[in-house]
Amino acid sequence: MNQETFAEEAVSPEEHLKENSNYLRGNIEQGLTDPLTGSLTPDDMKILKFHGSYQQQDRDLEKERKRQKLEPLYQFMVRVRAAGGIVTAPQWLLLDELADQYGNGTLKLTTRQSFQFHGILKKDLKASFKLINDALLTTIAACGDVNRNVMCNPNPYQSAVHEEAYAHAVRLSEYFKPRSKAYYEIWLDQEKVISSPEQEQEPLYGRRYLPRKFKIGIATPPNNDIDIFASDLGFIVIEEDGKLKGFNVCAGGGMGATFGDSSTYPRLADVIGFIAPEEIIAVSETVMAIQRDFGDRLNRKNARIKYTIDRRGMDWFVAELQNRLGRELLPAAPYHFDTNGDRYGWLQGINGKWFYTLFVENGRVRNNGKRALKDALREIARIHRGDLRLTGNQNLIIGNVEAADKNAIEDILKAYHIADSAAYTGLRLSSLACVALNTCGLAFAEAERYLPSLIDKLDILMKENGLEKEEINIRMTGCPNGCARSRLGEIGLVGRTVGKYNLYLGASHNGDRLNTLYKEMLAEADILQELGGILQRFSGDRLAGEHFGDFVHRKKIV
Amino acid sequence: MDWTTGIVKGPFSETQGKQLVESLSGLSAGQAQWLSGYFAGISPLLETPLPAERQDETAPSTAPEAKPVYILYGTHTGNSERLAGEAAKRIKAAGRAVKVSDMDSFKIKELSDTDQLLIIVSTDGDGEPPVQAEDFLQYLQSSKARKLDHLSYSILALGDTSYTYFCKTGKDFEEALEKLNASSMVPRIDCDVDFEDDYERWIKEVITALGQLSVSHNGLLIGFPGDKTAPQDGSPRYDRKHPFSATVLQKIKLNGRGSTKETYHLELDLGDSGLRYEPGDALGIYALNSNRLVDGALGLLQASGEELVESYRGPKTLKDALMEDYELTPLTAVSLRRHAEITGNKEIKEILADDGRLKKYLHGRDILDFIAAYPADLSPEIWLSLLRKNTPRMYSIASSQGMVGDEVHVLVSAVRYSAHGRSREGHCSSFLADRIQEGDQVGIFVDPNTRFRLPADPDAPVIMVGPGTGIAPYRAFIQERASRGDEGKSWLFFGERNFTTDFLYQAEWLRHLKEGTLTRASVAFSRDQREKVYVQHKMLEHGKELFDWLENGAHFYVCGDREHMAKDVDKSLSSIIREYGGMSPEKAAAYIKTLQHSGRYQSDVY
Ligand code: SRM
Ligand SMILES: Cc1cc2nc3c(=O)[nH]c(=O)nc-3n(C[C@H](O)[C@H](O)[C@H](O)COP(=O)(O)OP(=O)(O)OC[C@H]3O[C@@H](n4cnc5c(N)ncnc54)[C@H](O)[C@@H]3O)c2cc1C
Ligand SMILES: Cc1cc2nc3c(=O)[nH]c(=O)nc-3n(C[C@H](O)[C@H](O)[C@H](O)COP(=O)(O)O)c2cc1C
Ligand code: SF4
Repeated sequence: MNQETFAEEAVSPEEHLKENSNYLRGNIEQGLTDPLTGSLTPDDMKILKFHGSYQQQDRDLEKERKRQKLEPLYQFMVRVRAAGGIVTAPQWLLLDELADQYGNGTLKLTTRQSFQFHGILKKDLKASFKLINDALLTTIAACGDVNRNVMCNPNPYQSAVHEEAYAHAVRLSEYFKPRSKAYYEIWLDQEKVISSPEQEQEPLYGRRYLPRKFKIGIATPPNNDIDIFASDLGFIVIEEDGKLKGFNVCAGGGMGATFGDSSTYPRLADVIGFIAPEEIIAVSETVMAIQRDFGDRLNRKNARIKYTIDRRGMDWFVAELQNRLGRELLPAAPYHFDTNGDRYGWLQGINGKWFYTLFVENGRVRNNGKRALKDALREIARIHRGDLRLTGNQNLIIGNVEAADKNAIEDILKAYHIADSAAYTGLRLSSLACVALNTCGLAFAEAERYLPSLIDKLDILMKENGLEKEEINIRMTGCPNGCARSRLGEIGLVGRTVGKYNLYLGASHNGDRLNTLYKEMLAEADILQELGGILQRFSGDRLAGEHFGDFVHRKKIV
Repeated sequence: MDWTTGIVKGPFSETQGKQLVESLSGLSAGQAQWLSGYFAGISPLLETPLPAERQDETAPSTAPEAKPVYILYGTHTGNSERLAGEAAKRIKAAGRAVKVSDMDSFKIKELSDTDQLLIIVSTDGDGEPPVQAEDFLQYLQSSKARKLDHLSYSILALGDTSYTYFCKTGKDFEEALEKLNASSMVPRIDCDVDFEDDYERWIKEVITALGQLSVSHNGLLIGFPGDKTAPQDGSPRYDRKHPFSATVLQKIKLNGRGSTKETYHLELDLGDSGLRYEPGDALGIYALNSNRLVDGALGLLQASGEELVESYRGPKTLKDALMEDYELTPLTAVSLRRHAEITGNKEIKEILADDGRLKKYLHGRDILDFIAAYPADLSPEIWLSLLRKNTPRMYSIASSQGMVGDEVHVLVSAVRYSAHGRSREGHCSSFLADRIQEGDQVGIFVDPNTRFRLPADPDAPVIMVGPGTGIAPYRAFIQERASRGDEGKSWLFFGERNFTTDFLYQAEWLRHLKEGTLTRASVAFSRDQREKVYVQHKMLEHGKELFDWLENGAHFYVCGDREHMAKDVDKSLSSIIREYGGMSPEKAAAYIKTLQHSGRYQSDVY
């Protein structure tokens, strides 16, 4: 029976929880050994996030197991972070094996360049963490109220500047990792720190860590493939005759919102100035410190930095930042993004090696009938002398391929019936969907499991209107949290309940304008009918080179 | 003189007089006596002014007979839960005791002693209840639901006007409660996503209403102690010879997807049979044969089935006789003997002569194998005489009437195996597993088992070992102790194959542990790791504590498989006693003997 006390306090229970967790230990260790349940306590579930894992349950079986008097089928999602999302071929092989041994046999490449495993049972959780660390990868701070892995265009070899940008991303990721030793004790059996705070202080975070998750990204124009404006803090590479001159700083981005709660909303980051390359850590640390000190610790729904900034005003924020830095930001330099999508196919890097960007629908690596993507990539990883790279669009780059190996790789893809991008419509190649059902506890509707079949039907409309190559980015999420940045889709679909979606239209093609609500609560038939009409008008009335998102605005459709 | 005139003449307003007469008529002598004592006790408290005269609208927190207001919520995203907590604070502040619970944790039987119920529930899916609310709503809508004349309720429905079925779940609850004669204290309010104002309006009205209600409570409309319906007397007696046909209310396969086991939970309706049982008793169930076997037999007998025959249960067609009155599995020596007597078949005689061979022959064979192997030109009636009469199978009762009232629950594991090139199934377990559905009727009777009982002392600790279906009686034990509010400690040992699919009644055990009605549980899942682990290993693992429990007067129970488990458990028990009691084998044996003699070591194995 539920006897919570609902007394109001100055901060949310989560804050006390973090504070009393003894630097993220909680009682996770005891919880792991409780044989009567596949779950951890609600408190430990929250602490576990900082370690890179979420407790979930198979929602497809929820009702069935309830009737069977069994507890829900508790299982764990484990998120592996790799700054800029780069792993070696041997690392890939280990992750691939882990998915089969302990997970649900699939790998999810996420919208923030991480790997996710689903369906890991409590009894296998520790072994899974061990394997990941044996692979010299980690899950620490892949989730939780800390800085997450730093996003960055995953191909450093496009230009010298890309290379520098990537180096900065790695530095930031490392620099802001929590210092707590809890992770190593609990998962890697390293001996306990007789934790006297001195030994493992969190100089930046403190005992309560940040009020909420914090996300940093670095984008290199003209590619906005990481959707910089969705980040809490973003750095836009400014280049001068082939060298990294510095970064435009932008702050205050975030996609999440809650239906019916007007105090929550998606917001794009604003560009606030320019800094020199070497300032990037100091600036990031200061911005996080401001958020740490002023972020809302009472209401988690309003705790992201976008709300801190809106509550106090951007002028206050910039002033506070400059104040703490003890210097002014320089005026932002001009820059231009043309797309937030990926470029598929082969591309030669400045190091002379080759990079193949492979379309992975919704980032799910699995064997699907004769289209055995997972097997294909395993085979490639076995012969591959380069590395594998995750893009912010849930795609995969087979990187640093010797010219001599190009054919071998293409042959493997063919052998496993992995079509190359040419075989897909521009719409599908520009699609994103979040995980949603059956694992995401917050999902109201399907996304990843449904979007492909919706696109099958939309493809027919695209073809009818001669738009099969048109890159219209379409993004679906199972709830308004926007994990697939659905509010930045030229077509955005956000789940209301199973089978029903809100349709948003008119984001820009390069991620600098949110879309606008067009109609609510549409079932598939309605979606097809609405879009059918608009796509027809688009193919008829569009201006040369005009993007769909701009078209719907010009035509006042939204 | 007519007692009512006394009241009418008495110091009561007309309405009061009428109310009293209504309420008091039909009281049994016992109830009347109880009341007289009761009033004597509370009369001082009754000296509060009458409703008409009261000014302040909040209820007197002292009203002794005003039961706590119950707030039940069903939530998906947490709003209802939040409001429920808020409402509880407000009502407490207004001077009334309150209980808050999510609908899942709420026990149906608490309804009967709840007078005032507040429901805060959202609508989910496309007009569906939140998972949390499903069972409770289903119950209220089901034929099982008891009438709720004594209950007054109010509903706050959370919803979103942009959905087709706005606040449907709230409405469904209203409809169900009305059907059960519950009375509405304040009209339901349906809230849109901005529910705060509507909630405010609702809670204010509720608090006012509660004020008045509890006042009229003081004005002495109290439920009688006797209203929980007692078993009718003169109800027909049912027994082995006269089974009661009980309706199957629920049939649930408890093993989750991908399990290698097949275990069914059955809930049967005792209706007005008046049947009573105690935890530890078994339920006898009569099965019918499957068409497959009956047709098989008819085929071998080259009979149509229409032949009229004289069964020990009277005349009927051969088909019906085979279906209802006899067993076609398993084969017993009796059949062989009868056959040999009649036909003088040598081979069968030889088999019978040699025990080893007989065992071997019977193993896994059924009547059909036998008829096929030894065809003989006998009349159907003679054939019937070879068959074993349909005998009931026993199933440990898995429920306590303190918890489930006029129901009885059992847990059945389907017996399936293949032998001699045919796949076979148990007579009764396959009947229950394959041929019975919810709504069907089965012939049952209660088979008391006085040698498997909870300790008389409600505070005595119990250790309950029951892997597989052996867990059934402990569900009854714990339900019984929970419903009586017994304080005794309890320790469950359970084992099965796989944790995620075979932890029978897991959700219930977890709740009992949470609520303290089960003290601890140790589980062994044999196939979750390389080396096999069973309950007897778990006992040894906790040998020290287990011995301490025994020393502190614990009763030890073992239930389930006789062949292997019971023996292994007994071995573990004695080795624990030897080790931690520092006893010689003889001493330990004696220790166990005394346990058995004093009824502190009971087993129900099969
Ligand atoms: C896997 C991923 C989506 C995908 O299909 O790729 C994902 C999946 C989840 N996100 Fe997300 N988010 C993912 C990128 C995002 C993004 C995109 C981005 O950052 O560019 C956003 C929008 C940007 C932002 O943060 O505002 C995002 C905003 C959220 C939110 C809303 C946060 C907010 O403050 O509004 C939640 C809910 C929350 O945190 O309370 C959330 C929560 C979740 C959880 C963990 C659900 C939960 O909290 O229980 C989801 C796990 C589902 C599952 O079963 O795996 N996720 N999430 C992405 C993993 C990123 C990574 O590797 O770290
Ligand atoms: C007091 C008591 C309580 C009980 N409680 C329960 C309970 O709670 N739950 C429960 O499920 N059962 C319980 N049982 C067992 C139950 O009564 C039945 O014995 C069981 O259901 C099998 O009956 P059946 O009619 O399905 O099988 P039957 O038709 O009686 O066939 C069983 C016979 O099939 C043969 N057989 C079975 N398996 C094989 C094999 N692998 N190879 C060859 N031959 C085989 C054996 O001869 C066995 O005796 C209890 C028994 C008793 C006495
Ligand atoms: C997936 C989902 C489905 C919903 N379906 C309905 C519906 O069919 N009818 C309705 O009136 N409200 C519906 N709602 C709205 C909720 O009932 C409303 O948000 C309510 O405030 C939630 O309360 P809770 O947090 O207690 O669950 C739905 C909400 C969600 C998230
Ligand atoms: S958008 Fe919502 S449904 Fe999709 S993964 Fe994120 S939280 Fe889950």
